[in-house]
Amino acid sequence: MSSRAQTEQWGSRLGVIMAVAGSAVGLGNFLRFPGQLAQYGGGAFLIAYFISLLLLGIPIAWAEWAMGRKGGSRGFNSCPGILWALTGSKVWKYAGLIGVLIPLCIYFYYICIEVWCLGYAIKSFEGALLLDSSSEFTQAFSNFTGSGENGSAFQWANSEFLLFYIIVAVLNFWLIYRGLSKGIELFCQIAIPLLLVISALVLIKVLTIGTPNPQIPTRSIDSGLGFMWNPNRVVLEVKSQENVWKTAEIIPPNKTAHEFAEKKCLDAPSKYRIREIPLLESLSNPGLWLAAAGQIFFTLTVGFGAIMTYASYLKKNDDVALSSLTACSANEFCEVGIGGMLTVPPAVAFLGASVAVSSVFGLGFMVLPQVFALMPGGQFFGGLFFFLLFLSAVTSSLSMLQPGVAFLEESMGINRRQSVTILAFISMLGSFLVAWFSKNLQALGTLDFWIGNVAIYLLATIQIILFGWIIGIKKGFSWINRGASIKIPKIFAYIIKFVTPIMLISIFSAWLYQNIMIKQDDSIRALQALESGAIVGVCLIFSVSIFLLLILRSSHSYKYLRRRNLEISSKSSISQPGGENI
Amino acid sequence: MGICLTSVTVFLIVCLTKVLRTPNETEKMHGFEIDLPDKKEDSDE
Repeated sequence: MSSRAQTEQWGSRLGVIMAVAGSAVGLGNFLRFPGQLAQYGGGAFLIAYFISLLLLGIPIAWAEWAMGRKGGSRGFNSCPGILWALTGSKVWKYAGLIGVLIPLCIYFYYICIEVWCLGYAIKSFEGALLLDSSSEFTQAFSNFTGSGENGSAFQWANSEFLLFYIIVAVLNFWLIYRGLSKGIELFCQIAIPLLLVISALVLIKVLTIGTPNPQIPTRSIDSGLGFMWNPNRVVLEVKSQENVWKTAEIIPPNKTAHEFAEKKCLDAPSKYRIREIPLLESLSNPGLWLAAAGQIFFTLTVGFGAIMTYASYLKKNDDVALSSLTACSANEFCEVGIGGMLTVPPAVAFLGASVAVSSVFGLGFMVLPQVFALMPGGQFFGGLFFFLLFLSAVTSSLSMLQPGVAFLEESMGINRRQSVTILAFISMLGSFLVAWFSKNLQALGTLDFWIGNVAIYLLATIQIILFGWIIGIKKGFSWINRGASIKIPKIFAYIIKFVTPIMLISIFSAWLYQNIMIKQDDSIRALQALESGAIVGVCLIFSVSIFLLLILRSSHSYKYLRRRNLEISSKSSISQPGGENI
Repeated sequence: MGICLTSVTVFLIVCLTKVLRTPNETEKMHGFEIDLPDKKEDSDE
């Protein structure tokens, strides 16, 4: 048991950075970020986004890495064990269970999304997504995911879903079974560079599409990029049936496009208008700040418990300051550099701005297949794009399984093979229920709301308060600086202690107010209406929580593990020159 | 757009260069350290 804690380690420093970057790079980078960027006014959103990265994302990541490495050096790899090792308090140990619950419950629905990505990649290569109308794409999505009726994803007519589901599950668990360095690390070291190559290929194609329909000069890749990035934007607005002005087209800075927009306004002045949106107007919107901070928070996967587990396999004097920053920079490159240009600009160029701003799933699985169907060579590039999404989803899902594996190993005193088997059984059962209760994707939406949003904010708040206030910022900051390859400015000690928790609590409160009090989230409405998918989602959360709680309560291995680990550490340090894992 | 793309690219390149140029702790250690169970673990902090 304790020898496991001694032997399982990352193979290289770059490997762990790749694994953490792989955990962070996911659908949020390629679908959620561009949608938010476009919705909240491009350049203005980015100002709030980078401020949030500096004050929220990077400080929490440093705290998680430092606590994980410290807990690992004391023989613990799961969040409850790490929090217990750092505080010696049972309360924190039980609070740490959220760090196992979150990745496991997210995995229940994330595997379904992985299946969609793989399915869409193969369908796209086969040419099965070359459809005509938007309703056909919506129907294709509904048929494949089973969002029309519960259980329809597993019908014989849709047997490919089950096939892809088995392939994805086997791949995930095979990689997890192979262990940290031979499984997760090796895969991420191949997947991340491959992901960059594929995204470069798709990006070249996307940036060279020009103006696909010369009859509509407002729809071009230039206007798409302008829509995404410009701080001041000139837009053509259209009055909706509810008498609300909505952005219809972005007007790029060229004469033809302006004349085209002006003609529309002259033809129907009550329906169309041209308006310039200045930067300050966008920045004064509180929703923009909330969205930017939320995006930073979700994209870096801080508050999942996964980074803490990954960092626990580092050696005592391994750097966390630069490694954490490098993983963040890789994620930001994929998000801002690639995600910001890959999806929404071609959607604006082919379908217009009003269609491009859509939900994550709407943009990814309904709008973009339409774009690729219209694009020359879209069959191949669409396939590449969905394969890119699939790769990023697999690297993320691996980080969701490792905390569960570590927890079972640690608290039940079993080996990796046994813990992977138990985890495979639990996660297959959970994900099968999510995939079965697929009507309106309610089980998935419920899990995403309570776990993928509420619980993550909660765990991040717990972690930052523990780090800044309970452990103490002086000690915590010295943990970050131990073995550090870069010197972190002292101002970050104050940011971690004061600014980050205040910001986190404010955002969490505002988010709760907005999603529960003002406009109830769909998952809450579904739960109030006692719809089966929502009930299954909530029951899953409760049953997994109780299961984990029972395991932790009945576990006697923590004290034993800690004592044994210290004994073995001292022996190995004497017998092995270097003794770096002590 | 240019500023953002340049910033994130430079951020990544600087970090990666620093990672690749800095040897791992194990590579630069020449001695060994003994931690005893009764030794205060955070003594260095």
